[in-house]
Parts: sequence; structure tokens; C-alpha cells
Amino acid sequence: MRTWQPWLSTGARAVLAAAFLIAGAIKVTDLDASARAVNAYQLLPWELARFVGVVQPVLEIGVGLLLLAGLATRLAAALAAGAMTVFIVGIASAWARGLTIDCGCFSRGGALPVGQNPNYAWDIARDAALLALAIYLIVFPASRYSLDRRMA
Amino acid sequence: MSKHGRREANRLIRQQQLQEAKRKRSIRISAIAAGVLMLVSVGAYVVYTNTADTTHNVPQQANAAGTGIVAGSGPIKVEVYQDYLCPSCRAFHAAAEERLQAMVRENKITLTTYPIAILDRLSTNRYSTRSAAAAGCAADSGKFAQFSDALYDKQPAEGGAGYTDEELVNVGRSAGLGDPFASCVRDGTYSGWPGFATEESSRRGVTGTPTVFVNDKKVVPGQGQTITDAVFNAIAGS
Repeated sequence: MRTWQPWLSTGARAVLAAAFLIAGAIKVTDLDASARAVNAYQLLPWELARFVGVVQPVLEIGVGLLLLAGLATRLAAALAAGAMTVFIVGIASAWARGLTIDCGCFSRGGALPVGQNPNYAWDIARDAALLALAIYLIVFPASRYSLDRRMA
Repeated sequence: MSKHGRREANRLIRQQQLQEAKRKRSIRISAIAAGVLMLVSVGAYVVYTNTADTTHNVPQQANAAGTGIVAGSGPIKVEVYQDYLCPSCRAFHAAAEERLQAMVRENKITLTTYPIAILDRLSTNRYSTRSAAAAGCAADSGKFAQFSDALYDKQPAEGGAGYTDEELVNVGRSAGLGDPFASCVRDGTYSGWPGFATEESSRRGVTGTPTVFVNDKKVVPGQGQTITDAVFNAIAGS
């Protein structure tokens, strides 16, 4: 194993943890809005959209904490990769259907006011970059400054 | 087997056992982490659904579902979902309300207005919810339309503090509303109502404001078309 790999994994953990913790913290304070943000994608019936909207920020914070601590890193990275895949598919589908919504990625989302245009390409590019980091972590979960390493 | 060979073999076995123990521990940690994540999220959902408001008062003029304020009884159903803080709602109100009210008087349409609260995050004092609740009070005094005009006329900017309840009372007075309205606002008689109306609007697929239904069909403006034009086209086509 090359010596810089654990450091790269630590970096990937830090970036992903920051993204998940920030995204979750913004949404968790207004779960009603988070539910509406999921509903705005018009992919799920309201009851299910509400469930996802409430659970998602909690899970985001949980995964963020695991990544920050470097605990169960491979599992956390797999969950992060799964989430990013779902987000990319959701945004692409909103784009394809011509919806003008805030993706609700780092905000509470919802429909955009008339005349304001979404930037789906940027949202997808950012999520793809985060997905790449998560996949790297699945392959190389061993990292510096991690509880996994301390407990091994 | 030589003494050295046996020692080497034992060392390999120990190493393998150690690695196996490590692997098992890492699986156990992951399983615990997954379990905790699942418990916490299901717990959050249970808490969320159990703390939601279950009781609220509904304004007297409301529709049967208890979600919107009805005006007129014409054959064409026009339903407007709006948030008093939303600038696009203000624009729609300015462009369309007078004509819609005329159609109500001519008995062409039944106009149902749903004051929902999806922009509470854009004011520091939950203006969307409180203004919608106050509109319910205005409806009880038969001045829903006048109060809506007054609210849109003085719409506060997004991002700051909306009007306080006391200021809403004054806006009401300027629209000809009296003491029953004032005490209704101050007592928070309908403070739980906008949340209910908002939830029901989500169930119906309302994801932004203004959203208008004409005869139960959501009006979707075409490319470059204003929602006002789209709404009156839909009414003309009904």
C-alpha cells in the first residue's frame, strides 16, 4: 500500500463529512420544508415523500458523523455513494421533465419562483465529484485519524 | 517439519486468526452503526408524525375540506394556492385578482383561495403562517379579499422580519376590520390552520406558489407565458 493512500482517504472523509453534515443540518431544522422539497421532485406520493424528507436529513447527519470519526468507514462511504446516486438520478429526472425546482441539496428546496432558473448541471457535477470520493473510500477505507484504525 | 518451519506455520496461523478477528470486529462495528442509523431515523420519523398538529380551528367560510376560503358559486372552479410572502403571488394577485373577483360577481366562477405557508423559512417570525392565520380571521369577518389586497399591497420583503401580529391587526384595521378580527389574530385562533392547509396542498401536488387549478386541472404556463395569461386561457376554455 502506498503511503499517501491513507491520507487521501482522510481527505475524502473530511470533504464528504462536511458535505453531509452541512446538508443535513440545514434541512433538519425544518422537516416540513424538507418533506416539501422531496415532494417537489414529483416522483413519490406525498406520504412517502414526507417519510423520505424527514429521514433523509437525519441519515445525512449520521453518515456525516461516521465519516468524520472514521467509524465504519466503508459502510458510511457505501451509504454516501448510494445517496449521491439517488440524488443524481433525481436531479437528472427533474431536469428531463422540465421542472424548475431548487434541488434541495444544500437548502430546503422547493419550487423556484418564476423567472429563476435552476442550475441542474452544476448540481449533478458536484454530486458526481462527491460520488467519486465515496467510491474511492469504498475501495480504500483505511485512513489516518480514524476510529477504525484506532480500534484495529 | 523442522522446528523453524513449525514456528513459521504457527506465526502464519496466528496472523490469520488475528486478521479474521479484525474482519469480524469491523463487520460487527458496521452492523451496529447501521442499526443505530436505522433506529435513529425511524425514531425521528415517529417523533415527527406524533408532534404534528392534529387539532386546529377552521375559518367559518372555508370549503368542505377546511383548507381554503370560498367566494362565489359560479360553475367554473378556480383554486389559487398562495403564500402572502411570495413575490410571484403578489404579482399574480395584482394582475389577476380584480378580474377574478369580477367573474365571481358575474357568477362565472367559484374562487377558492388557499393561504398556505411554504416560505416560513424566509422570514424571521413565521410571517407566512401568521399572515395566513390572520387571513382566516378576516374571512370570519367577511373581508378575506380586502385583507388579502391590503397584505399584498404592503408585502414585506423576503429574508427579514414580517409583520408582527400587532402590525397585522393594523393592516386589518386599514382594510375595515374591527375588534373581533383583532382578538382572533391576538388569540392565535387559526394559528394551526395554515400548516394543515399546506400539508393538504402538498398531498395534492402543490410544490410552489402561486399554483392555480381550473376545474381541478393544474395550470402550467407555456414557454414565455405568464401564469395570469395561462389561468385566464384555461378559464376561457372551460
